[in-house]
Amino acid sequence: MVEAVALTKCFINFWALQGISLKVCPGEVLALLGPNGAGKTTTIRILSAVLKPTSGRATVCGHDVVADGPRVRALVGVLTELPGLYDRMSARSYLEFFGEVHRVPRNLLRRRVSDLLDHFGLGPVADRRLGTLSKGLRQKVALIRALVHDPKVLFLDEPTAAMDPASAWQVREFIVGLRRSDRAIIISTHNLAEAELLADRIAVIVQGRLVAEGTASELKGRFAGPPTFELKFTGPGEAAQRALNGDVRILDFGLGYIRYQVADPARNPELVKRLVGAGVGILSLTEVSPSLEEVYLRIVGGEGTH
Amino acid sequence: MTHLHGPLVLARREVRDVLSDWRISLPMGTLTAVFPLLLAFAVGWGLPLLERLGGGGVASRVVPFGLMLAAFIPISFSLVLALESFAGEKDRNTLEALLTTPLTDAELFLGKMLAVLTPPVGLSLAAMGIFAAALKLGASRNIPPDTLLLIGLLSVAEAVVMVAAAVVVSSQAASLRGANILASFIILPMAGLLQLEALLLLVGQGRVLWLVLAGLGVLAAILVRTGIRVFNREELVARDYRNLSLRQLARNFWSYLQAPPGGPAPTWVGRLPWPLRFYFYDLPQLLRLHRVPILVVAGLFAGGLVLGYLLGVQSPNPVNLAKVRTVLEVGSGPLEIGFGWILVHNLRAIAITVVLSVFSFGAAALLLLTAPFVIVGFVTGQVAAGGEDPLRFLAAFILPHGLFEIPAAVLAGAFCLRLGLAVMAPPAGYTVGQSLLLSLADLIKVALLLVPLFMAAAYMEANVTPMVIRWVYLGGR
Repeated sequence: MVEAVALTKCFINFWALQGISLKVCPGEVLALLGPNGAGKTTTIRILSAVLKPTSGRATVCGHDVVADGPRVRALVGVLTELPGLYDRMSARSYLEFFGEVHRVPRNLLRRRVSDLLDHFGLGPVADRRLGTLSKGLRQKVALIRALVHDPKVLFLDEPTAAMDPASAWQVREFIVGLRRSDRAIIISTHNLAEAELLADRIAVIVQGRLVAEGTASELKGRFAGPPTFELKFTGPGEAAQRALNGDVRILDFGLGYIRYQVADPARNPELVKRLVGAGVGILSLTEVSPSLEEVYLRIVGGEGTH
Repeated sequence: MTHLHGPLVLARREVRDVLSDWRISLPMGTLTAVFPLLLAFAVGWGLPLLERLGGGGVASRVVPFGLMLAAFIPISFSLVLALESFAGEKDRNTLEALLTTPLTDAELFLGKMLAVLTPPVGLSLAAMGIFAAALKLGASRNIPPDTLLLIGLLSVAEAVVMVAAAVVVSSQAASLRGANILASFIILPMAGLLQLEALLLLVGQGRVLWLVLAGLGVLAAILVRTGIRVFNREELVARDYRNLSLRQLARNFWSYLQAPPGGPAPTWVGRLPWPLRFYFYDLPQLLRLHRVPILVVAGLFAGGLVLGYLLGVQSPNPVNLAKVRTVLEVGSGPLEIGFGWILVHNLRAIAITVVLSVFSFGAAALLLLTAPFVIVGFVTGQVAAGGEDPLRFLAAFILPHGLFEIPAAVLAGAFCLRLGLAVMAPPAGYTVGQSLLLSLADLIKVALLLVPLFMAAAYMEANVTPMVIRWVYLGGR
């Protein structure tokens, strides 16, 4: 549904994208992660036919983003990085304006706007001026703007930014629902938990290059290194350290616990035996799952390879 | 393909937005209502006084002048609204949402134009109506329908010119502040134009305003065309990423100067030392690439010559070459002007044409450089009317230095025309700024041919042409 091949973008003095390729199928959510200025927004702007790539090719629902820009823009809904609403308009008239620009039939448009406003709990403020709404409510209006023409593809730049936890949860649930309706969704976010929760796949962009792509567990498997274990024990910590030293990589230790990495988890029974032999009383041994944040930091720290 | 649906929806929203903001609508409405009433009162009070003092002629001109002022006040609002159109939206971060809609660039531009034009033009027509009604009711004076039509059309044309230029400025500016500064390029010429219009009305040459209207119509069409051509969402968004870097501009300019014209050159070109490469490859390529403007300018010069000739032969004051002969015999007069003076004069004329071309979309190149050909044609026509052979005259007075000067003038005109059009029609993939730099680089390259040609022409004009004239007309004396 969305396909980009070797996209580059040069803005006279710098290369914002340096060969991005990605593919998003119907019903799939792709999260774009990366530091500020990595090229996420530029990627979205190219895929939504606002910017033209310097080289490379991108299609949305089979339409080329350069040759068929207006058609592509009719098929996509874009939540921009900043909500950017017309403050003197009411939420309802603002959304109806964008629906009209998208040529949504008037009756359908009114019904859809009302339904979406109600769904996001904006019914009571639908006729208030946008300038008087809170940041979170404004963000919701901007999200509805992206949905008002029922697009097949959604580009969401920080969809839950500025929202309170309940509103953010509501939006995430909505995105999950959209995925079920066979839409392709690309989310650009700095919220790693959100990315892990919503995205089928995650793409990490650093300095205009796609440095890693895969499911969250694939990325963890690829970039988190050997599995990490946490051992809780009774007795002197120095004895436990001495028993393990040399065979494992100790990441952290404290009163009654030690955290280590071992290349081959099958060695754990042998290590436990050694600890018991050294007089250490074992309370528990558990594998610690690496967080996406750790993995992300490793990737953007330069350890990633596509 | 441009549809009207999108522009109309966009314009409707923006007009409502303007009208719903009392900080804008209240002053606009007040000025539109009050100013024409005051003007009508002043005119109605002053007219009988003028007529009693014997200034009936002037009195008849004061009414259209007042009407013009009443109509222009609301038109002046259009500049503020137009500058706000893109730069203001960008400042408030509302623009990008609009750019993600299916509206084409042309639809966006037209929508903004309509939105910005509608309130001022509507208010301007209302102000004219208020002025006319107040004058009728207060002083029992009617305004002739043709005056109403002329002033109404002039106001609309002025609004379109200002708005089209301001929308272009607004779309090219990085911020509202930048747009306001650039607006001086619109305000100053418009102020000059208004003074000219006022002067024409007050000296009783109101009919000339129809010509001004025609000129404004052409200018409006050019500016709208320019707006549609240079306006694109890519530029609007890309400005987020760009910083104005003089070093980068200089680097671009240098690369345009160095690059072979028309894309990559064959490998043998790269092996040539620079002067040879320039004269054997770059220059012929440049001339080939500019063949259309060269032909246009050459055709225009020839047309100017013919037009001048046709006017000259009808002239009631044919040139008496006997007088010229006397001058030649005395050995004084313009023919004794030296090489340096002629060269500096020609180069200064070209430099002025270059500068004016940038601000006139190339029109200055056509007008300023065609004028001498019209004059030469006119004098030749006068000579013919005086019974002399015009070809002999041309061969003696023009041909010797013209062999160098005319090709140089054609080339200069063509490259100045291209420079002026660089703003209006940048080559594909170039921004307006890059297009200007590229055209300027081409002009500098061709100057390496123009300067020697003008030097040769100046030498011939100072030394050879007088000899030829003496030889032809005085038998070598």
